[in-house]
Amino acid sequence: MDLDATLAELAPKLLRYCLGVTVDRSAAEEAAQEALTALVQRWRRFGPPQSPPAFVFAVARRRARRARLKQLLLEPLDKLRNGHQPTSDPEARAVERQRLRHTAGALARLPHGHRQALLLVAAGELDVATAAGVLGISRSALKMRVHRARQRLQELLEDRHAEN
Amino acid sequence: MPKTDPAADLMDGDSNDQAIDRALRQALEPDVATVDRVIHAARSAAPSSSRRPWRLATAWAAAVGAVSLVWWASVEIPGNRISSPGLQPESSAVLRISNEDGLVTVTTPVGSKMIILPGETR
Repeated sequence: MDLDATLAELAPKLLRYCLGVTVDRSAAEEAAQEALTALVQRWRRFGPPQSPPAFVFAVARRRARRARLKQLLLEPLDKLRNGHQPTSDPEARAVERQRLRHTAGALARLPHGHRQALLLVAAGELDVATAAGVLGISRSALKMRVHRARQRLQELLEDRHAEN
Repeated sequence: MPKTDPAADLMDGDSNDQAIDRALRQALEPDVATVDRVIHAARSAAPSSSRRPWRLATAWAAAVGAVSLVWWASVEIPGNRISSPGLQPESSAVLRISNEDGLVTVTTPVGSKMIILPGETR
């Protein structure tokens, strides 16, 4: 098992998962970076964990939740600061923000457990056993949560599309 | 990866689980520069063992400092040295103590109090 290859494989999945939880790119980057750093340190000291994806997503889950809390506390300050920063490509950024806002809005309407399960499986691309292990639930419970989350998310996205 | 509207993707008839997952991934897709930055930062992270002694030393120093401060406050603050039923709780900060033939006057920010000491302690 190669550390560099593992990092390259896990980084985009981890960033997607963290972005789904935090709904903020800088907070997601910070959480993902901390989780990967924890993996690198663990790997160098004791060798690779039994399941690197399980290790890194378990860490990311806690860090992303903390980052989300921090973000909620600092949101008013960030809005003030960003309001004075020029953007390089305002149109592209606006489209991207709108896409993220719509998806995040739909995700936010899912129950917490369903959202976590869907993000781990769909955004993080974890297999059922690993995702169930990260959440500490049975495989059947995870499958049920993911199934219901997909159904609900589809309804929400279709409703939004119909409204537009 | 080309980005399309996730909802439009679903409305095109591809409404199975993979389409939902794909739509979600597209909306949350990070850019290449961010991925590279995160990987680079993780690779160049300092070993955790080099940070732990520093944290331990800081925590130890903070604990010792807190205990010392509490001890100093209980022993060295003048107001805590004198306990008299005649003094009010808010007058613990003693500014001046004068002793004239056993008649002790304690001056605090809220006023003065005279205390007559017993004969053997004069």
